Amino acid sequence: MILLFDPAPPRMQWGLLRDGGADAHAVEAKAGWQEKIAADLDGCGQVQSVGYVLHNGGDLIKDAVAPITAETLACLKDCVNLLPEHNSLTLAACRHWMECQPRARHVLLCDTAFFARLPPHVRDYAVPHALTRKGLHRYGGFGLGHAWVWNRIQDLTGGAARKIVSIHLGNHSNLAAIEDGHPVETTVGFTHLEGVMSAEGCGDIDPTIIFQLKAAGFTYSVINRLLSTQSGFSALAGKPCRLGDILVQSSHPGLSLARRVFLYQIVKSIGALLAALDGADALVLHGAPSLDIMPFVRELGLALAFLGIRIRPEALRSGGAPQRVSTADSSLPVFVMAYDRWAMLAGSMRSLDNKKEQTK
Amino acid sequence: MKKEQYILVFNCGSSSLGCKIFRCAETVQAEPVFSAKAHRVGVEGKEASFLQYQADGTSAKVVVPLPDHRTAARRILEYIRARNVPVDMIGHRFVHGGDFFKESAIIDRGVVELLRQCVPLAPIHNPVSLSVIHECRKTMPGLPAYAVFDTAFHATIPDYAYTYPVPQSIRERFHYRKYGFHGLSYKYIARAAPALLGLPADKARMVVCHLGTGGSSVSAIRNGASQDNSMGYSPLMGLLMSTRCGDIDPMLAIYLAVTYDMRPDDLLNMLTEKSGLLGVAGFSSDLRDIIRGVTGQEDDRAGLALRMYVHRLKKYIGSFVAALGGMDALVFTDDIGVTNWLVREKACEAMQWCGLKLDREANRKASLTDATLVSAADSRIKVLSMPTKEELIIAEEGARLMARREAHDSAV
Repeated sequence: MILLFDPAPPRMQWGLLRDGGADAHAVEAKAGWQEKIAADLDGCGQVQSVGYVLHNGGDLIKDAVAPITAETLACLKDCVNLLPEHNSLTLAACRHWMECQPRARHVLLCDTAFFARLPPHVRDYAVPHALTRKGLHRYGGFGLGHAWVWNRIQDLTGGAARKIVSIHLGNHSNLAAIEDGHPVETTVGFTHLEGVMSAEGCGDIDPTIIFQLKAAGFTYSVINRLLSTQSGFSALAGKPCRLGDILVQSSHPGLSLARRVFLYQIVKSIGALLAALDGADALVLHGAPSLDIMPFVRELGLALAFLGIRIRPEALRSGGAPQRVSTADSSLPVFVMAYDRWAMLAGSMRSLDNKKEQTK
Repeated sequence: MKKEQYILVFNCGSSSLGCKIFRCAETVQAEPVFSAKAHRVGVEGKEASFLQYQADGTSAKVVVPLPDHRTAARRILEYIRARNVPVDMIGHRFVHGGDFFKESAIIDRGVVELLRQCVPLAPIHNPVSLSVIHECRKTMPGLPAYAVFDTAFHATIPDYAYTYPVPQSIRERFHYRKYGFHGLSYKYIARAAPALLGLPADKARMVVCHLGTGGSSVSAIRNGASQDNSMGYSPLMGLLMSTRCGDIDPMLAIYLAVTYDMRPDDLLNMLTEKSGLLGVAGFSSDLRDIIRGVTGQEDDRAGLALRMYVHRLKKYIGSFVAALGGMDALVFTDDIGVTNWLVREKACEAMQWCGLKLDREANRKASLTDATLVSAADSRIKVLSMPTKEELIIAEEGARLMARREAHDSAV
């Protein structure tokens, strides 16, 4: 049995993986949350390994999947500042469960490690060099997911897709350009706030508004909350809004605006990443469930028709397995696959065993 | 309107000041009768600032300290007065008109007050333009003057491209949206480039890179109308510029303010005046210095700055090609866009995915003063190096404003 932790402040998501599948849970991350989980685990059986997702491993943690050592814990402490709310939860979970489950294997799953070797001209911001040296640069994100998608698309195409644009459609959407298994660009920056807008986060905006808000008397913590939790789809829709609400056309003016802005941002991001790659062998869209994103994928296909993309009209009438949704003569193949974060994380955990076996 | 008028036009760039005088009879003549340009105004770098004058086929270059735009304007006005060059009205380029100015305006005391309220919207440019307006009112009192706004051309940007996804109350209170800049330049290129390429202006999809010595932006233009621009609410966003950071994670600004306890003014100043090429390379904000400074060795910060500059430019070209659903022409304009073949070469490298292929030879030999086709014969996309004529657009606006005022006066 594998126990997994994936912080999503103000909550901690956790999952229990058995042979039969995964149970996903979440608790409010306030005093006593660890005990609550322990109570839920009571009688579930022996925990063999525990995985902890770290959302930003900074410059210190460069392995995507690795057993946790004393040294890892020290590095983790130094990473907290980069993404305090998320990383402190990961650290707290590590400390607690390593102590209560001393015999289990403890594994850190780092979401930025995939991007640890981004070339400096992609990684850096054009700010004074001293700040870049302090680690204020782009870290990318969602690396575990993009690495998983890369592997699946290799299986699916028999290694023919050397350059892909990996497009995650979700409440936190983001894109990565990958060549030969290595990322060459990402829409995620220093944090996930950069890039495509999320359900509640603003995405790329002109940051001078921050100074105007400050001058108008807003505190930085209020500004942070405004941009991270009261923006994105919801701010455009004028009401709470998730990806599912904007995947289909709507007559509601706010939802319609959110949908148009979102589609436009995805189109522009794909163009930018194609320029970074000098074209791609495949576009891969993933999100859950895949059937739901098809109307959006069709619209995207129309917007990108100039690249020779043609989506099969009958594609994905039935959901399920990853598949090519473009026609045989589409000059840029398009794939859609369902994305199950818990299955992906379980796969990442297992990759450690595979690695071990290979080295044996 | 009297038979013949002379319109003096001031064009403030972030590190340059252009001045041209146009003769206007029925229409504005495209070639100015007098032109002057102040170079490297207020620039930290190796080379000295200088003024260049051109009139009646003669030219002069004067190396002189130009600590700010007002000094440069005074020098130019003194030169004009000393030579009795006729001037009937003065046009000023004003970068950011915000929501106050949707079109050009004749400057009176009320307008000056509104211009002052626009200052925080473009903290580098607007105060500079305002200082030149004040200098003109002092040195040449009584002359009619008007302001032309860069934001006006971008009024056609659709809502899905200009809306920032923040709460509506913030958007409304701060008039917070993408405005877009370098509109005068794009207005000229949008009509001149298709004419030169034989493309129907009302059908052409163009990506235009306005690469200046100070500020730079990219625009997506369809059917002669702006669809998007890489700059945003302010000219801080978008490409990596000489001292401006361009796109950054908004969270980084908050993080810096909180972690290093930086004052908002200092932080904004750092992002606008000490970042960009200067921030990365450390020794100069001038791309020409940076290119000369590339060593190819480890810790080659000039090389890094150049790669970042080109990479971000390519990303914007790619994103606008996608936004337009394909492109017919890519145009490079303004100082760096026209005079720097290396930047064009690098920006067009590895761009065959969208049908773009450069003629490297033609590109290296492109004219520094005239439009040159630099794409390969078999390139699906035409690539142009084309000097812009912002001042001509400003002069035309002046002639239009005057004609309208006279029509109004005679009607009354």
